[in-house]
Amino acid sequence: MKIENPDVLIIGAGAAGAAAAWSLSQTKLKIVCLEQGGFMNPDEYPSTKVGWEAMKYDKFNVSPNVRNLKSDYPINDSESPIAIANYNAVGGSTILYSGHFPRFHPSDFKVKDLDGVADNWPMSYYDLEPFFNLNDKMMGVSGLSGDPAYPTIDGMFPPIPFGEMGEVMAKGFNKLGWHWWPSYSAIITREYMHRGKCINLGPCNMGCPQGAKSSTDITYWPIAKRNGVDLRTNCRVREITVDINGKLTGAIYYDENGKECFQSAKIVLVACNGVGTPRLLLNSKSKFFPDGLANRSGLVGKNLMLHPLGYVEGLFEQELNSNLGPHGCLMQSQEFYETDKSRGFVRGYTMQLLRGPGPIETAISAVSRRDIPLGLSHHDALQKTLGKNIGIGIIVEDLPEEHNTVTLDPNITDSNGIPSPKINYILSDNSKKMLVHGIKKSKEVMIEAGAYKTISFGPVRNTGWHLMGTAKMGIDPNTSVVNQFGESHDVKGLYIVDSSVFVTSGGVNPASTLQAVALYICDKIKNNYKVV
Amino acid sequence: MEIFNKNELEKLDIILKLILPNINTNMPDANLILNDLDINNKIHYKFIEASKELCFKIEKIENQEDLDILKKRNFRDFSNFVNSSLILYYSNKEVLKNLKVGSTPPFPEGNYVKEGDIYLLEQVFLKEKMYTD
Repeated sequence: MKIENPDVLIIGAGAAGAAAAWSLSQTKLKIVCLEQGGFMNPDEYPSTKVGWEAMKYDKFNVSPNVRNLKSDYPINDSESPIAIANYNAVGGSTILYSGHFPRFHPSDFKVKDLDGVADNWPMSYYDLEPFFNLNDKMMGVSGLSGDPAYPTIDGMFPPIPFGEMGEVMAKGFNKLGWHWWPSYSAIITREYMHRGKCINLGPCNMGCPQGAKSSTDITYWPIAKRNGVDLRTNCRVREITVDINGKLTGAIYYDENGKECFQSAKIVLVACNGVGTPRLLLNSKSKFFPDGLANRSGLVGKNLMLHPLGYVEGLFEQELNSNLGPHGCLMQSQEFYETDKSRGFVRGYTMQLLRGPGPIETAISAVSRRDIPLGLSHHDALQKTLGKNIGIGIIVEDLPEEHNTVTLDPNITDSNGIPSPKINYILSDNSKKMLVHGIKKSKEVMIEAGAYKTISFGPVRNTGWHLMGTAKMGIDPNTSVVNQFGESHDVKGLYIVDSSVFVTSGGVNPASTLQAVALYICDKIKNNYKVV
Repeated sequence: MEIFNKNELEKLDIILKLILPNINTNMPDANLILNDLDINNKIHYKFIEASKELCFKIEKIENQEDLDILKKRNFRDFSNFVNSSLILYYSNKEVLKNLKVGSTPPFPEGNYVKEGDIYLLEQVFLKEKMYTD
């Protein structure tokens, strides 16, 4: 349904944009959403092909710079040890995420009070709790209640099976007396709505043709569209516009034919992620906002947080079938999540257990490390590794620092001629200490579980999925970009609903929390505009 | 138009059989990846480029000794070639059939994964609240 004069314009149809579109579609508001990518065709996902694993080196690569699709924009991340990962389509990065879906913890919202670092959020875990629950219901989440690392979480589907490898690791954690828990997974283990249950295809992070992984193209969008949201695909927004008085007017975008168009709106919601959102705001310069829209604090693009990731792999003698099942959803340990200053750092990290890679990745990484030779004994050595390796990803809480930035690159543009983002990022000493600690502890549990060899490294380069903090939320207009309800301090009616508004990063994957934040903000919008 | 000339094909055939040979295993020689190459496929194209680059740098290759010299003198080109070869080799249906990699392709069959013993959680379940409120 084509809407000419919408009340609301949403920019971006990913994790946050989809949740926001659905939430506001519960009202009589007229809503348009502009998305630079198109709809995915599940029949074309890699796991429908024999050579599925090879596709991650091409159009299902995590880096937009490698994929180089029409929907992508280049990102200069040469000044960062962590490369940016994303996906541009209806569903955004939920198309390629692993579906690991833990929530932030209560302590994540008050790190200033607890640990004297960064800032507190202007909301608590318990303010967000109803929206976490609502989001779980809309997305479809599997897991188990009773986790001592969290306040009670109910209403989930049964957890993803953890198999032989999970048992081996569970015993290792138990020997050490450490916490572990089956993953909170945005993957359904029972049929739900029109979606099939998980059948352990494996490469969830290349799209799920079964529809079991909860990407927003199949969760929120079908309902939001049915409720009347006008979702326009292959439309890339160049800038958000204001009139001569600095009042919000709408946005200029390029449609699928490259034609420049203007879309008016009374309210604009930006949901382009922690890199795309500051890029758009910085590209939206005017007489009123010469340094970029909503940037009177000077903080747009600053405080970028990326979750540096450490990796430990354990090799086992016995057959574990570790290459089968949802790659990123198995179990997690939050033994070292909360601050213990005796460790030499503040805050903490999650150990995310990962299933073993497929044959290509196993062969390439082991051959390059010289663990698997070429020649006569190659096949025997590969058989001794494939299905017998288990990974641990160490997701460390990244504290905000103003020198970690998204700016505009003066030399690179996308296919519409819009300046591209440039990333400047360095790891803090606190993050480095956490990585060292996490790697040491992960090796310890691998050995306890029976691994005969471990391999470790970090930070892992191609893991910059978690893009946070570049349009910080707060009460004070001098130290934040948006207020506690996501509205710009500088521009009435301009809201940011993605993880750009995060004050801190937590030590878990952010998708669940960013969607809860989007629903929270939309709830306030509905109340403010009395449109419920 | 042929992708490789006769001379290139001869060299590649020998190199591929040396790096991934079929000896005492049910795995085929790697030279099978030379069949069905598609120049319009980006991944295949990378392999073709890497192969031509390597062939250009060798005069003769007959045995493992020659391969070791080639590797030493052209480490980067050789690594590119090996990586591209591994991608194509482990994407091949016959190869995957002989490896235990579950359903190929994974969809629509899916794979069986054992539930796992959930009672292993007992000692974690009994832990005190761990989060800071």
